[in-house]
Amino acid sequence: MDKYYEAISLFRRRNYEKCVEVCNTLLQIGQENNTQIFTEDNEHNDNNKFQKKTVKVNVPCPVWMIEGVWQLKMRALTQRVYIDELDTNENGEENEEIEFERIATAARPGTSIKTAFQPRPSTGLLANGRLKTGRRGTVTAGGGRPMTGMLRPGTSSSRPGTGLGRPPSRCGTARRVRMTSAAAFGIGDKTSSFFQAARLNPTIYAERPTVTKALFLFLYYHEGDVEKAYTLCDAVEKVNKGKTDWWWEQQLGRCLLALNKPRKAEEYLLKAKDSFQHPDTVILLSKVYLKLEEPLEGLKALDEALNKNPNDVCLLIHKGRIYEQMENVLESVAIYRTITTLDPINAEALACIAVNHFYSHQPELALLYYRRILSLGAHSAEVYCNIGLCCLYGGQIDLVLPCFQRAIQMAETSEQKADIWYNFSFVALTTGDYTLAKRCLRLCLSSDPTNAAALNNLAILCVQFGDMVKAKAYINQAKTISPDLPEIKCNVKLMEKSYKI
Amino acid sequence: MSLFKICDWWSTQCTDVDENFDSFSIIISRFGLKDNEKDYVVVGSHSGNLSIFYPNSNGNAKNTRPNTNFKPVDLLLESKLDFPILMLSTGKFSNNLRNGTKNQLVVLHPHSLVIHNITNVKGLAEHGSQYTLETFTEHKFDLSAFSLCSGSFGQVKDRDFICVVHLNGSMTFYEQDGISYQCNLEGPRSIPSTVLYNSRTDTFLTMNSFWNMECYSYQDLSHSGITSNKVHPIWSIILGEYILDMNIVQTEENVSSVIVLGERNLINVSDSGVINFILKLDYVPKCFTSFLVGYYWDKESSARHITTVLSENSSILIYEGAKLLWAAQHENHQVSIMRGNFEDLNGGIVTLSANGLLQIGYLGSEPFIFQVPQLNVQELNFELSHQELVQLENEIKDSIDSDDVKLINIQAENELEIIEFSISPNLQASTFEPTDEELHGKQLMMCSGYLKYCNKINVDEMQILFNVPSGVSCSNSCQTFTNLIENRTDSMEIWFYINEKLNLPSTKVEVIVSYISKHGIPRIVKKEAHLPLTMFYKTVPGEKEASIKLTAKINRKSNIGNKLQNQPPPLSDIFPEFYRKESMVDKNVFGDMQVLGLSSILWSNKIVTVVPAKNSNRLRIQSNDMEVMAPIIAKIYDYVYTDVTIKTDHSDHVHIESNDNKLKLSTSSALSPFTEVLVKIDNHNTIQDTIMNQTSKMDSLWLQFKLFQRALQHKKDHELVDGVLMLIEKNYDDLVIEGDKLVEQRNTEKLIRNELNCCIVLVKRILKTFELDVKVLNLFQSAFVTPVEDWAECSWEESISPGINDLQSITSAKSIISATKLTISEPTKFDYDKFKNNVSLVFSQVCEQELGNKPNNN
Repeated sequence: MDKYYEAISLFRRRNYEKCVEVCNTLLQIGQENNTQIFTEDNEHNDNNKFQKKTVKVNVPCPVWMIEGVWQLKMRALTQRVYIDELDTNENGEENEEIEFERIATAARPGTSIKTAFQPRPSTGLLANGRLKTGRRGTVTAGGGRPMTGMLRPGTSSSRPGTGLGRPPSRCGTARRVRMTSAAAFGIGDKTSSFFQAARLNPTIYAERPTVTKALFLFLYYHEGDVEKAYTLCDAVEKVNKGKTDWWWEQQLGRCLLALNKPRKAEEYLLKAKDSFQHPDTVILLSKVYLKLEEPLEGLKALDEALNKNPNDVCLLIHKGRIYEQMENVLESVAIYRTITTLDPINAEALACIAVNHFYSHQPELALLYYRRILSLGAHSAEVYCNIGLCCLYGGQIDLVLPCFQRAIQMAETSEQKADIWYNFSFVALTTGDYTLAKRCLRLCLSSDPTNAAALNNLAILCVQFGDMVKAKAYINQAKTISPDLPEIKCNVKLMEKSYKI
Repeated sequence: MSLFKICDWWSTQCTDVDENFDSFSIIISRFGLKDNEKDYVVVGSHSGNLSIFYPNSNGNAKNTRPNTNFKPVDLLLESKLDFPILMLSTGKFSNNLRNGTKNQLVVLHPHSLVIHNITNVKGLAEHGSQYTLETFTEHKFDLSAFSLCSGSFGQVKDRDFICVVHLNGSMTFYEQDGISYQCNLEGPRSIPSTVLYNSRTDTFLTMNSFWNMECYSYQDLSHSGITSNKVHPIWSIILGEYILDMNIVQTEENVSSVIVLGERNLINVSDSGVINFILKLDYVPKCFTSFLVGYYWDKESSARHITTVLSENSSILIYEGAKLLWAAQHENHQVSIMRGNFEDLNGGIVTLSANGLLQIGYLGSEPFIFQVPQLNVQELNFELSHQELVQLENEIKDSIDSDDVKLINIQAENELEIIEFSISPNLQASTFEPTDEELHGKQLMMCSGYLKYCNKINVDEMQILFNVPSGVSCSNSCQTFTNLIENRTDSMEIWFYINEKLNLPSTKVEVIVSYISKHGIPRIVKKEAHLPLTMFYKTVPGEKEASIKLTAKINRKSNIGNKLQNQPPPLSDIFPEFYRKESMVDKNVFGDMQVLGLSSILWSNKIVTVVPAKNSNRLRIQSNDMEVMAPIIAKIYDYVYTDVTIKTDHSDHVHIESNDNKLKLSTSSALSPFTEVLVKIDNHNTIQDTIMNQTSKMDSLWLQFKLFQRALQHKKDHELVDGVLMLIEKNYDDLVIEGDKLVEQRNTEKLIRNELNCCIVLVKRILKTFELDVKVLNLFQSAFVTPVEDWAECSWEESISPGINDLQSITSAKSIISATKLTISEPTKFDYDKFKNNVSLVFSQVCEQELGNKPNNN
């Protein structure tokens, strides 16, 4: 059987690793036969051959095939690590930082020195008071995207629908994952010397329309080199003298957004939208408006597309996310509910509704939704952690420990571990087991030494135990990590006042 | 991920168990072999195995074990063909055959196309009937095939034609009656794509390499076969992604929909080239099938267009239009999905896995309960756990608790013992090249050191570092070892040599072994040894007079009796290394009483003279240069404090004098060492200022340089640049000159700093013998930081100034109030005069106290 056919067939079966292997052997053969994709007049020669029908193709790798193999290989490599960046929270470096700040300013359980100093909460009133501050682990309130515990690859390990079948290493931010897994795969690739993306000159390739699109995706998704991808777009634009199709306009917008030039991106995306209504364009446009801090414009863009296709779950989810960012919880939950009627297995919508219930003091209802997510088969550390917290507030203390046991067993990244130990320390605090809480916090710090909230809580616990020197050390450490956290500020003040440290 | 799963109705494993199947390997069709016929499933693998199944439940529908539905008779035909099977299709490819209702099977091989006829040979009994495959026609071609497409091209009645798509994108048409022709589509086709025939408009749909969807009319294509011209598409739309598969369904009388499964989206296009919808998929699709449910489009309005997509993680998602109807989980990883009508099961879901597992199932409403995997947590044994906890806590305590440093250090020494660290007093001519150019060509000496250590525990990482005095270098000053096994004794030899022309503050060499144990606990073990003085000093005749004089009063008990000796110890005892050489002994007939003159090897004019007094227990040490005295005083000090104690240890004498009184240093000249230190500090400060000025000068030059360069860049091509160039050159020369000056100043600074260092060390040594309050003494030791170092932000003076302030406030009780005020005040610019004042005040106060103490002593 023809090798090239095999490669295509493997690609169709989504067996990318093998597909790339076959492509590599083909490229090797091409290399040995000196078949370059940059030979003059190759197309003419080829076509003559076919038209005359007399010349039998003896060369195992004609030029058109090499081109095809390249395209196939690039696509296979891209698909291997493809994560839809529209589905993540990640919007370039800068935005990420902002996101972090948001997380940090969110209130965390028991962080206020007052509550920690009070004896064990026994009444509902106190517990309620704690609940208000106690939204963490499940969530970073205060306008940030809720860490619903099991959603986008930007925030957690698994993505609904695709997450389960994938290797567990796919967590962390999309770009980092992409980079690391791409790099790991690059090792041992013999043909990697034929193409070195870092040295590649986009302007040369811009004139070869058969590979440009695949090359763009390869640069953008596999290499994570947005700037190079942008140069390629630009070069293609120049080669076609401005008469490019909507696809390139969309990609230009995508790159510009990632490069933090939303205004310019808007221009291209609007152009692309006018010529072709692609959902990606609309979502990108809404992201542009979000970046420009014009969420209403973004909603308008989404609504326009939704008018044509009111049942598009994808657009609805983005709408929900925007409302959430605008802190319009009612609207967002309404949208998520619509989504669940359209797509009852949409884990994101389910999780968001659950979170909403959790914060409106209905842990039992939230538990219902989380159980539903669990029964869909998406069991992850975060889900167990959230169920544990729901049980805690729902008064089903006997279920709390097994949930956390599972969560700890399933946690893989240090971030997850830190989060779970932090939350568990909160469980320990609620049950009054301060020693356990202290140990949990220490474990949390061992996975994430820069967890300011954990340091803060540990300081308070030290005060509780009467170890002022350690308390001082912890609170100072917390202060250096995030000096703006209101709890820490308050605690430092209080400690200075009452204990003269 | 779904609540439901596909219920198994019929399943079997194809003959080929390797991964030889893809989405083209299966078709579901009818052959017209019998009445009331239902669907046949035809599977062909890449290894050439062809199987035809006729799935039915045979009345076993109520069978509780679903997998048993397959019976060997369901497999109608099995054949191993010579070539890989790429694709299958059925249709009426021959009108020569008698039976007009019969369909033929067409098999696509890489280089040929074979049309088979399936015939049923009736047996004697019912079970004896068998099916055979007759090759009807075979077409061969040179170009490798990719896929095929069949249909009634040209809207002919009751006849089907075949179109083969080659890997290079060209197409070959095989019509009946032996007519065949090839045609090429426009543009490059590096990646072939499936071709669909739309019978409604008599057009072909395909994708080009730019990921555009194109529509060609059959007329144009068949015409091109004759004229061999390239064909242009009727319409073309940009889809923007590679497609996995596409399918066409006629939904209304005058509209057919083309369903395209892309890598990320499900796209529905009408056959006139208008996009109906694009559905963004939030999962990774693998394959799909699309069909119409209900009656035919033209009779019933209730016909529904259903699309079933199989995702990468084996979810089956069923859409009506763009709306999700149902989702169900499949157990195995499939590559192909189809729908077929079978006996007892209409609308069965047929799936094929890559290794040939053929399954037919239906959507059951029985919920698929996700079972949370069991937690295998072992029952806690509380006693054992407690023990473990205690052990762990002890370990943690060991590693983080630093309350009892002494104990820790003792433990550390037990764990890693430095058995021996010694420096041989024997010198050899140095073989090392000093980095200081001034020393090149000089005859210098080196001496060897020997280190032997034993790690009693497993050590993760260990670093051996030799801390040498300034000016001296070590052959390998820092070494790192990893993963050492326990009880391993090792030794090493090191060489110490003079590397820079600097004064020696002390002969002490410290070996610091730091290690991290397997538990991750870091510890440090230290040991020190002394370099031989002969490496740095040589004997010369003593000087009569010198500006700095120190008197050392050595209180010593004689070995016999309990009397204080009124003679200083013999110099040969204190400085044995200088009396060892044969020649020296010859010269010094009077041996011990001789005046000893020592001159620095690097500076022959710097001489220290040691004169023992004749009738008292005093030694006089005098020199013109204070900086060379430190090691000699240290040597005397060490002699007194180590030698005597050893002696007393060995003899039975009970009277060991308290350390304070053993050695007494006093100044006996007009020029006290304290004033000398002040001079050195002055020097140091001056050179600091000079360097500061020099760097600021260079900064301004550098600014100018940048300015000129910018000016040069801004010049247009036609403008003259000579003036700017000249300025740049001049400026550059200046920079080089000033830079050289700075280098020189830095060298001077180094020497001055070194001198200051030596003097401070000496002063500290002198103060040690003063009868001061231990607290004050300690403060002194720590306030004057040695080695002297300057930082970019603040000089040595600046850095020790707060300490001096404190010290001054303690030594003179008067100024406590002013001192406390000082600490609160805002950090102001460093006031050198004030600092100097403070230092001299401290010195004078200390001297006063010392003098004040004297009468008490006497």
